[in-house]
Amino acid sequence: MKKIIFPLFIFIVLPFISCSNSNNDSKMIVPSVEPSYTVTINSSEGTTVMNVDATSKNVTKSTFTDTETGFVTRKEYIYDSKNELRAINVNDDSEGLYSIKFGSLEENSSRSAIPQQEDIPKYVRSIKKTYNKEHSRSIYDEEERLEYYYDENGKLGGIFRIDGKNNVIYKGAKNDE
Amino acid sequence: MMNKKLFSIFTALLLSSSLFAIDGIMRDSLFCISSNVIDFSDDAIRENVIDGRSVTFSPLDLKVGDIFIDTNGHAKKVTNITINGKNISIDTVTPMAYEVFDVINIPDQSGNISDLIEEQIEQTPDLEEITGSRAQNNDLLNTLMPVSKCKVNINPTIKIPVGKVPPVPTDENFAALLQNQIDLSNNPEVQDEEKKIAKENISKIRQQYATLTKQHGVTINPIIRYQANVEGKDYTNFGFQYIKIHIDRHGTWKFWKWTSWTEDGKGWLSIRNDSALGFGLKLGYYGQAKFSYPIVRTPGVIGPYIGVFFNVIASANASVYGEMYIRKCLTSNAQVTFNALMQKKSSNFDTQEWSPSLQQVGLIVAGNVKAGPAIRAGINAFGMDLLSLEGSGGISIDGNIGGCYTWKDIDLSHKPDNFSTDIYDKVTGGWAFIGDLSLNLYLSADFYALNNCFSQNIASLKYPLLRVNGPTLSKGFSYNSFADVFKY
Repeated sequence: MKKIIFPLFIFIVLPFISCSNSNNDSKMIVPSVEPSYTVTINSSEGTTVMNVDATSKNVTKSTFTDTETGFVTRKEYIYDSKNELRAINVNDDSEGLYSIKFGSLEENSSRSAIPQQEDIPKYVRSIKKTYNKEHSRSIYDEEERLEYYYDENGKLGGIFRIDGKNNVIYKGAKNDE
Repeated sequence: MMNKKLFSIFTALLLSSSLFAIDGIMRDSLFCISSNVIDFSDDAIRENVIDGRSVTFSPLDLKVGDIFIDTNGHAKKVTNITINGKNISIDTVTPMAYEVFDVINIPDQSGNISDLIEEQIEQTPDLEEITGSRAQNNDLLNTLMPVSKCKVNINPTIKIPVGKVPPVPTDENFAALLQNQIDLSNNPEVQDEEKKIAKENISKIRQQYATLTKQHGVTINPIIRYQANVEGKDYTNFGFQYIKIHIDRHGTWKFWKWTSWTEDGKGWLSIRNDSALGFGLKLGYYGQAKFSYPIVRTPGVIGPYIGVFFNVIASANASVYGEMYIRKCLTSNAQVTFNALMQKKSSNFDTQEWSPSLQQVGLIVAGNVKAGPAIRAGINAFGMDLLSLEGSGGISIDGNIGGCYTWKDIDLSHKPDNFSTDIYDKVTGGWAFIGDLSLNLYLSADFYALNNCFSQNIASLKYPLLRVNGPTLSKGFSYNSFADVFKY
């Protein structure tokens, strides 16, 4: 019996252990291979299917299908090494192709000179949309800007999105804060 | 310490009240999104502000009752979540507006409706590229009426030939020879071999002689014209305001510790549309002579053929027309105020309409001579064209002379206060005569059937090289106001 167990140990168990170890080493280099989540959002207007990375929880792809028209909008989300969203590439059945590029969060140089000014954004982020609409056969750009306002204690008070026509979307702290 | 939110809203209002010119597209508006709304839309604010920090949520963080903005930009409220391994299914409904927004302020927006329409049209090919030059239809009315982006001009011409002389050889010897060979080919007593030779001869003769086609008849030309924004004063005006302040009892019955709340809002919309609609009928009589000389042509008695010809076409027509224009100004105002649950509290709607009209009768005499090469392909049988398609181009000389009489029938009693009467002041009624002469390059495609007994122009394009406007004779209004009449 011992004659059988030893070869088994040599040829089957040892290679298995060594392979397991080598896998552990490779995990240090190769990013997570966990399968992503598929999130399906059902609504009366259509269905959105999002692929969400299991590790970063970032949305990597989304597909929206309009129930009424059957038009499909496919989006691909691109992140940088800091996990910040930098671009969305869109292929829309009705609108054509367009891409949205997000600038990195940059400190506002005009505020750095006067650090206590609350009414000057501390950080800004640019958003640039480039359309290539199939129906209009034209390419045009739109630029927007995100502004991050901080109070004198260094806490974020609110974020503004301002488009080229001075339309403002604001999101801030809760009422009861 | 200044309340963060009030400070931010104050800053936003300052930003939104800047003195930008309002040109019809929404601007200077403010939307304050409730702080707990999670945003997955493309270009909106993806972060939430929590404890003075920026936090970005994932779809995996959604819970029942959460409100979020989907990737298509629509707000949704989670009603149910089903998890099956790595697959998560989320059922949603549309939330109430007050659950999404804290404040909406769309300041008074005014603009010209046609600016919005023209902005869309600018992205499509220019109308003149499609229709060709204004004068292409050899029509004085169209020449005077500038092609506008907000104008529809339906002006088909129906030709009814009264007298038609099929193409005949211009050389009598050829004509006699041709008839002789046709008779020979149809004679039952003639041998088949001779018939075959006769048919070949018909083809050869057809390749050598020039033809002259004459026709005259009646033209019927229904006219429908529409023009939006007649005086460039169409406008739309709208705005929307909504504010939400919560009551929070903080778990106490001591009302002086409560924070009060209210939700209120109003919206308004005003549209002024000034359109003119014209109906008319033009009746005319025309005559045309077409000389066609074959330069080269494929042989064959029966079957398809193709050839290159040189054409000279002379035509003249005289038309009388009558048109009536109805101008309609519609002004609508609507205002609604509402409470917290968007239930309507009050509204009013007001409409004013004013429909004056102009009538016009006129006479147009037009002449046209054009010359140039043509490529013609078709099916022929025994020297006759059954079907053919001809593409031609060259130089044309066009002359028009016309006169019109205009009178107006305008009831000013129901005129809106802000409605201009400038254009009507110019038109006092009266008559005018005008003429022009032009040299053009032309391209044309025509369809013929049954040996040219039926013909139809498929497409034509004219490029003006030279144009001379003759002196204008008028009484009652000037040339400019004459043109204004045609702008309707």
